[in-house]
Amino acid sequence: MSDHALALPALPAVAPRRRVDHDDRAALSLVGPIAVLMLLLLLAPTAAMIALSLTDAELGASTITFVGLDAYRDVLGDRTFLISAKNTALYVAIVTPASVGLGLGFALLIEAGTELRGFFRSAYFLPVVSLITAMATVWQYLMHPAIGPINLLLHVVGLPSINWLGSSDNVLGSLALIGIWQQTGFDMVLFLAGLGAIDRTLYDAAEIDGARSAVDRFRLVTWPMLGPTLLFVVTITMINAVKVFETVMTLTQGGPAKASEVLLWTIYQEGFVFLHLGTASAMAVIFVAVLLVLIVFQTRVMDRRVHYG
Amino acid sequence: MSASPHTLTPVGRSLRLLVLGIGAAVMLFPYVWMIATSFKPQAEVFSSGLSLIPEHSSILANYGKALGRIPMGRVLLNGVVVCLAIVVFQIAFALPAAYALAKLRFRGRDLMFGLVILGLLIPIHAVSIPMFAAFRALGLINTLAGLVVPFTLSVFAVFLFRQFIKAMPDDLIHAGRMDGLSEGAIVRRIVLPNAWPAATAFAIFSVVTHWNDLYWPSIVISKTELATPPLGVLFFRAAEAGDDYGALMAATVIVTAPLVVFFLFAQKAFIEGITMTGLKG
Amino acid sequence: MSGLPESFAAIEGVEPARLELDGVSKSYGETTVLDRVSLTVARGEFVALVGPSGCGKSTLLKMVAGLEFPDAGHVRIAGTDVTDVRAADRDVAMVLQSYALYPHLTARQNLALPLVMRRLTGRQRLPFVGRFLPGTRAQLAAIGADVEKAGRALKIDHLLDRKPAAMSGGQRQRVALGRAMVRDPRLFLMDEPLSNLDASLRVHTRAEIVDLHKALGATTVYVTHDQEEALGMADRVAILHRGRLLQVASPEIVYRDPSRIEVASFIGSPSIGLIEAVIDDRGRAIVFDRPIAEGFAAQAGATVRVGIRPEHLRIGGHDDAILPARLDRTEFLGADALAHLRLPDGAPIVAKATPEIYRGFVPGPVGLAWNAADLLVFDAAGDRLRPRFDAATVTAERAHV
Ligand SMILES: Nc1ncnc2c1ncn2[C@@H]1O[C@H](COP(=O)(O)OP(=O)(O)O)[C@@H](O)[C@H]1O
Ligand SMILES: [Mg+2]
Repeated sequence: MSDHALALPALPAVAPRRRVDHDDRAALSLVGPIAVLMLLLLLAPTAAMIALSLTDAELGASTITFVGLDAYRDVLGDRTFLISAKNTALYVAIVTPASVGLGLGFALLIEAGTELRGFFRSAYFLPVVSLITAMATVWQYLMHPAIGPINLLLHVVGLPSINWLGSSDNVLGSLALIGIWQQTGFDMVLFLAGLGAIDRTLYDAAEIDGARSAVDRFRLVTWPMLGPTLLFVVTITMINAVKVFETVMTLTQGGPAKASEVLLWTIYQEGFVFLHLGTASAMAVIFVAVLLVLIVFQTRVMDRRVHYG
Repeated sequence: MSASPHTLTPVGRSLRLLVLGIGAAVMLFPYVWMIATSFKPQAEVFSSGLSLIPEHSSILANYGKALGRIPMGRVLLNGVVVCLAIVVFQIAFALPAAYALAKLRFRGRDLMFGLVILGLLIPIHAVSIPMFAAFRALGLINTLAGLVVPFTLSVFAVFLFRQFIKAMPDDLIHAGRMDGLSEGAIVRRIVLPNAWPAATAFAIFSVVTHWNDLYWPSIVISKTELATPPLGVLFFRAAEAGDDYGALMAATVIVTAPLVVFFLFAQKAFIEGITMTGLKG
Repeated sequence: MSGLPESFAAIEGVEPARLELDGVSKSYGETTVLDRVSLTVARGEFVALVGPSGCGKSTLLKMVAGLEFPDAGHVRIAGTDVTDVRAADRDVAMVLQSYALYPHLTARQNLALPLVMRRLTGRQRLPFVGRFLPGTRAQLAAIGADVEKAGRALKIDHLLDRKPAAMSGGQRQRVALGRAMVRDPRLFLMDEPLSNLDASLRVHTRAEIVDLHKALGATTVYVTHDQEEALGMADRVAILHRGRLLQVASPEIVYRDPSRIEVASFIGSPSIGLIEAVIDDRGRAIVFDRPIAEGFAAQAGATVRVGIRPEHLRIGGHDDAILPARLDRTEFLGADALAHLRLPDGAPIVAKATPEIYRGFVPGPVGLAWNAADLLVFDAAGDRLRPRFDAATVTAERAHV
């Protein structure tokens, strides 16, 4: 009956009340403090970083000379920096697929059943809330060539010992192992959230459409619906991996023979040990540029392929 | 849900438990050894092989050393003070700004939001060089304030809270205005209570981040009594030049325990907090 | 697989199936959601399952589909016991309440999916390599043609290359309908398919679904919480209340001759008026010291509830009145009008008539009257009490001749 209600002519749209003046004053007191902080802690340092990168500034030196893009040319020609960039890329290339893959696998397995869900979730998540520096120290002991439990275990099953952190061939892989151990649980909880957000009725629809096996359900629903989460997890894992620092500082200090030299460590050394502020700033600018590329890659290139809106 | 079509077969169930069990064993392996070794005397660390249980307990000696060699209590306190100060300032600055960005229309809003996004893209590591130079000039090196100040601004908090507040109904705010609340009072009385889940999530994220951070503290702090927990571990290791792994593991247990215990008591809040900040970030 | 043929859809002109539910029960923990539900739907019949929100309609439909499984009882489709057969092997089509279209697929792909899953083998469905296996191309071409046909039948052919996010609610609903229809189902299930549409589209689509049913001839179970929809569309209406099936009958009968008080209250808009009465020693129902109906075999002193539909309630002067009442106000609805009244104890009751009849009525004391044959009387337990000379049944039977 209400279906037959007369269609009333639309009311003329009421012009939004102009409250701009009032809001301006209120907003000033609300955003004023943080605007000042932004100026002091974000804009000024960023500008200073870019400015410094164009100079030969050194802490303690009495003069600063403008050298233009020379610092960049030096950095890009610097053997240590190139090794550092290569090592970082390699580290990211190992840690990202491994921890994303493991995180996804564990999340799917945890979701697949009901037993011990909470226990597994917490066990995998524990490294995320553990002090990285402390746990790196533990890993140092675990990976000790002579008395480390890992080598002792290898010995028990008849495998040769591995010089985990002391050999330039192995060190990056060993650091990556620790990185994977740290990151997997983080990726897993993000995937669990992503899985939990999938509309259950899509699985009903798939079942009705004739999807019998877990593989069919995965291909038809889980994988496509997890697209945005996956993209996001990959990006955040890459960003975290690019920022690897704590384990390097604690365990290897870039060694042996620069085999674990990574970007943040190199910048840290250049800026705060050798006090070459100009060169370090140029490196930092390049570092930010790399991060920007990763983020732009996420938001622009891949975004369109996984959001169905 | 006894007969749901997606229930695992008995074989599938066992396989799930097996694979997850192996994974959990690997994840927990370092913790088991850390605790076991912290109980062992130095001689046994070198001789006992894969035995986890010490023949002679050296708990008191190891933990005594860990607490005595450097002021470990002070280190933990530094960590707590720094993390709390950071999180309180971050929320106090970010929440009003986030509210303004989400619900008010004012000149410069888009510029402000643009700066927030810019800030999200620039990590502290990048601007640490000029900031270090400035802090040296200001005498903030080797002070706790030097550890807190750079992080009082969290553009991520602004971003997260803005998303959260945007989803609140406008009527909630309008009702507050009708009741005669000032904008500041609206933030305290209406926005904060309703944004509590976001604030909790962010607080957990922030504490985990700054409790763990080694980069900035290692730049600013060189005095043992000002060390935060990660620095404390490094200082302890440096002071304990030898291979006294028992004492070193005791020290790592001491600095790792607070956050882990906190996590074990509030697992749901932790995981939700990290998920929420993770997915919004 | 209970001996089901590999794919019913592949067979030309699928026979509609008979559906039998036999004592089906389901609980979630402590709460019993369905309690011994038995229902038979004949081949090609359109049955509407109706009841208030939360009464267990979706759960029952999911058991027919094979998405949930009963704790007790049996489900038979086309004579085969499928109680433990999962949905993928039941060959039943269903439109889910939320439509559940795959957001990453176009309408065309959404429609094709059930056919791909049924007509192609696992190996033919493999990405990349599958399409080079013998027979895949021909199958895919046939599927494409079937999808086009369904698209034209539902007038969604212009939408086929859009993704669900780029469609309106009504368009999504049609695609969901198409996904179920394209399989030539032998059993067609719909869970509140119109509840997400706006009012005018709902009335329009209602007619289309009825036409579709006529054209396909598939056995259909249609779930709705809207009694008007159920009465208007179905061959028979099944009323579910708190997990129990109260009555299954034609729309006419559930309206005129409800077997339970819940059926009488749920069916009809505005709701039936209910007046509490006591049976006296002469078998008369007494309200406010007046006899309002007679001929009941119930024990003297028993409480009964006397129901009267709004359109059967006459408002008149005091002379022929059975009960006195107060008129609060009248409400103009276009073709109809309502009168909102109060009984002497203040209880509200509604009467319905054409607006002309209520013209000039002013609030104040009035008298109420009705034909005794129109009353529906229920005992304290809610079961229907029939006068010894059962006028209501006579009317209903006459209507069926
Ligand atoms: N998986 C479930 N677990 C627990 N309770 C459920 C579940 N599914 C449905 N229910 C309960 O069963 C009752 C009937 O649900 P449903 O069949 O969806 O009702 P309807 O479709 O008639 O609105 C509701 O009270 C609901 O809360
Ligand atoms: Mg329902």
